[in-house]
Amino acid sequence: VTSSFAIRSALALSACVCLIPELAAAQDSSGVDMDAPGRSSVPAPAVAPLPRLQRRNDHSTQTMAFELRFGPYAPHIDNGVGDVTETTSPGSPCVGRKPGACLYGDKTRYQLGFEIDRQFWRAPHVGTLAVGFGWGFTSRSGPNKAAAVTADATPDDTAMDASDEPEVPIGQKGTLNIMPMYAVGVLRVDVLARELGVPLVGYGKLGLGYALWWVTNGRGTARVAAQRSNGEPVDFVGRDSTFGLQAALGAMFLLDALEPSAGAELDTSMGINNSYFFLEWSVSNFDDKHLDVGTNTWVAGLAVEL
Amino acid sequence: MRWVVPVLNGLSSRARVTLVAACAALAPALLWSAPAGSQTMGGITIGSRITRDKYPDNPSKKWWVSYADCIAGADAFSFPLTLTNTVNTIEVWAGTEDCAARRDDQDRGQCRLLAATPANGEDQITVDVPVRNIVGAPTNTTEPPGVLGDTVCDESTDPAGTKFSFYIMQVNNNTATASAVWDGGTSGTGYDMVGPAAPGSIDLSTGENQLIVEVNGVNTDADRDRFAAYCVDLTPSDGFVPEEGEEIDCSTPELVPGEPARIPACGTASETSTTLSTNTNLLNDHLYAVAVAAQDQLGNSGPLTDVKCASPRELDDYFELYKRSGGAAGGGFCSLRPGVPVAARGAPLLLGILLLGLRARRARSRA
Repeated sequence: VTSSFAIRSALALSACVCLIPELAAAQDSSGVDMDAPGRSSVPAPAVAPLPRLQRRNDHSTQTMAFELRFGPYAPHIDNGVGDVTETTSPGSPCVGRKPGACLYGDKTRYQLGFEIDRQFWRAPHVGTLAVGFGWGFTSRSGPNKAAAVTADATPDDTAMDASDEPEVPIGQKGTLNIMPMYAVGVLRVDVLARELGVPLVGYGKLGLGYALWWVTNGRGTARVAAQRSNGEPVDFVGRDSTFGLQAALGAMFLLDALEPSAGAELDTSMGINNSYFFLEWSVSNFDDKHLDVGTNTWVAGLAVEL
Repeated sequence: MRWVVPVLNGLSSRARVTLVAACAALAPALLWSAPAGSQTMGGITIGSRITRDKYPDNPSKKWWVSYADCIAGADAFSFPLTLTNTVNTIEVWAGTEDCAARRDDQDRGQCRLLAATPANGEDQITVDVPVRNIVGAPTNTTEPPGVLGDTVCDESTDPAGTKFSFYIMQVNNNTATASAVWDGGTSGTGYDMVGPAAPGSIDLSTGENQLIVEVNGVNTDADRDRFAAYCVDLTPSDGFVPEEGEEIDCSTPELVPGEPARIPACGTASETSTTLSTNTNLLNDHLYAVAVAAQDQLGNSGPLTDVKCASPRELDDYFELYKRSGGAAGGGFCSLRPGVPVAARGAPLLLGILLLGLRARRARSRA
């Protein structure tokens, strides 16, 4: 029920942010060429910009935002999964623990990604609305674990009993690779920066998250032998995709405030209207039936508006 | 070509004759394509299609002979020749100095006669030079070597190999009357029988159907292209269970420390890597002796490290434990299973259609 509500909410938000430009286009009927240099196709606020910005004549068209994102990533892969038990994996060193925690431990791993937004409307005295697409990648690795001993195995079943050999550590490593993606509506509230000279921008994002994941075991993509309902043997491949809610709240610090002349130079030479350092709290709430590879985490990065 | 006729008409008759003569002189040079790295002196030319029976895997060493090539022994270089004079014999020499000048000296220096073939007055002839002759033909003889055994492959000791040029001579009355030279072009030509130095030591760790080798004590070596692991299954076919407390002997005659490996590698890694994973076809619970050697660009194995032994064993990966713990996911990126909410399956599609529709509507309204 929660998942369904989240998806419907995301769809509703996406529909709203996509319909608003139609309203905006209707207001923009003065015949002014909004793509001309110095004009913005994101309609200007109804009031004049603050005096600090009025003195600048370097504003190029602003229609895009780009973020380079980095942060810790601890996927909820053990959600909805039972402990490894003596019944299913007798003798396994993972008995009594969740598979993810046992194989990959709790060491912090990181994600690297980007987001690109299309800004299509400026809400007067508020900020910009945009639709955005994000992509990221993260992986976790750890050595495979000694296999369970099947109940009917005897020492004679193998050419050599492993316990009689010199102790050799396990060097073969498996990896869980996750490629999280999302489509979101983005509201960036930049009224403080534009009208009050405070170099802070708050923002929120809401939409759909989607992630591909795949597991390798050191020899290739992991596989598990299983049986179809008709008894036919089949290999279950260790890869899948999952959907869910994607949301974020964050704050951006306008770097132009540190060096206004450099900001103006970037705008005139490269068309970069604003550059930011940002910090956000990101939530990816995925369905655990298909492996919850989502996470709730901090993300930091650099952003530019173009 | 319409401009040609007016230009020719504008020339004097003397100029026309000169132009035609120049074209006639240049025609053979334009029509005949010499192989890269060849020079011709006199009435013998090497055709452009020099071949060999088996080329190395590395294209940058196309005309080099490795230890494996030499041991196999079936490989030969073939030189297609065009002769403009009546010739008794064609001789193929190899050397690092001018063998055409050295041939009729008492001391032939580094020049070696690799092969001699009667021409019988033919104007087109192909001369084959076996690779063992290239490697093992002796110096300072006037007779071509006979059929050489594989012992010649073990005589070279220089890891850098020996680079030389081929000198192909036409011989009448035991005197070289013309010659052509070929140096292999950009890759050069020669032989290299010896691999690079061994790393200091190795450590083994285990995997499922695989062993992992840590390579230690690696020094810089320009001759080294990669590391190769060599595995020998020590478990007899009838099974083997050591006695309690019995020390396992890892030695095997196929892997002698300090000697080059003479068996196929069971895994390779780049020369910048210190971890090497073997192939994944090893048998679990079988005891394997493992050693590592460096290889050069031709695949020559250097001396082996000390031998260590370990057994691959059955292991659990994350996905196996996840499935055994009741996890339902997996099966492929595009798999659809019962229980997936319809909204979740169709949501991205609906969102995409919505965005495209709105974009088209905006475009229409602008127009």
